[in-house]
Amino acid sequence: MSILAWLEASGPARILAQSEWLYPLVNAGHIVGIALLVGTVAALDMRILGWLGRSIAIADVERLLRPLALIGLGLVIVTGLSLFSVQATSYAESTVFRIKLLLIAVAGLNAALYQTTTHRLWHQIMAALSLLLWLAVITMGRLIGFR
Amino acid sequence: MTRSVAVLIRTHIGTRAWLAILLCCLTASAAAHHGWRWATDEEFELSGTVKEARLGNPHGELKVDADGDLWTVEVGQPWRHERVDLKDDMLKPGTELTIHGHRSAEAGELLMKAERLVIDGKDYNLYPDRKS
Repeated sequence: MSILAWLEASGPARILAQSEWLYPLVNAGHIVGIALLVGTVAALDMRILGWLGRSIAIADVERLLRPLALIGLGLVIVTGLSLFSVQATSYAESTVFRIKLLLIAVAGLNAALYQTTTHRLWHQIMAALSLLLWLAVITMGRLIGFR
Repeated sequence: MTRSVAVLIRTHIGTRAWLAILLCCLTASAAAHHGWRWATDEEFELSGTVKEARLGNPHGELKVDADGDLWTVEVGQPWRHERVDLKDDMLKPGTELTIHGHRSAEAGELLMKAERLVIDGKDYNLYPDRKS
């Protein structure tokens, strides 16, 4: 049995699959996580691009938003894995889902690379890329249910 | 008043930010599965044999062989089945059934959403509020 099939057959996954309220609740938690993560990332990106909040230092914006982004990240990972477990084998086969994972990986790499340079133009390019990537991640995530 | 709001929006948010927001809205289209808008209004009936059943959240799905055509039939969530005492093993492969509901509005697509199932002459009405 593959690890995906095992995950799908596991106790917690079956409870979630059969639940009346838990599944939609976890679903809502995933959305709250997305709101926290992508909302704060977008605000920071737009500040880096100089589209808003120019009177506030980027470092200050970062200090305020980073903890919220990390809470959001934790929430999307935990709820995302839970939702994935319910239909692990079929999600793993879904092209849309694979594209979503790939985009998340690229967005993560982009965020990591941001830390490696202090060049302003590079930061702006990365911020623009980050905005586009997260929008694409959300779009792909939404498409999973429709493809 | 309107003008000052417009000025406020222009100065505080900027055109490019609005474009980003617009992009968000544009990407939120596409429709299937949820609700009934993706299906035709016409009542539809399908009789066949269950080939495959994947039940549970986010919603159950049957593959039904009807005269050699393999249909995808969307059924209910666990609570909806429980409400009418429809057990998972009553939908296992080999089961013969008739499904009343609505088929996809996309021409030629072998996809429908069930309102009511009939197994062994017994009705399982998943959507008692809807005509089926």
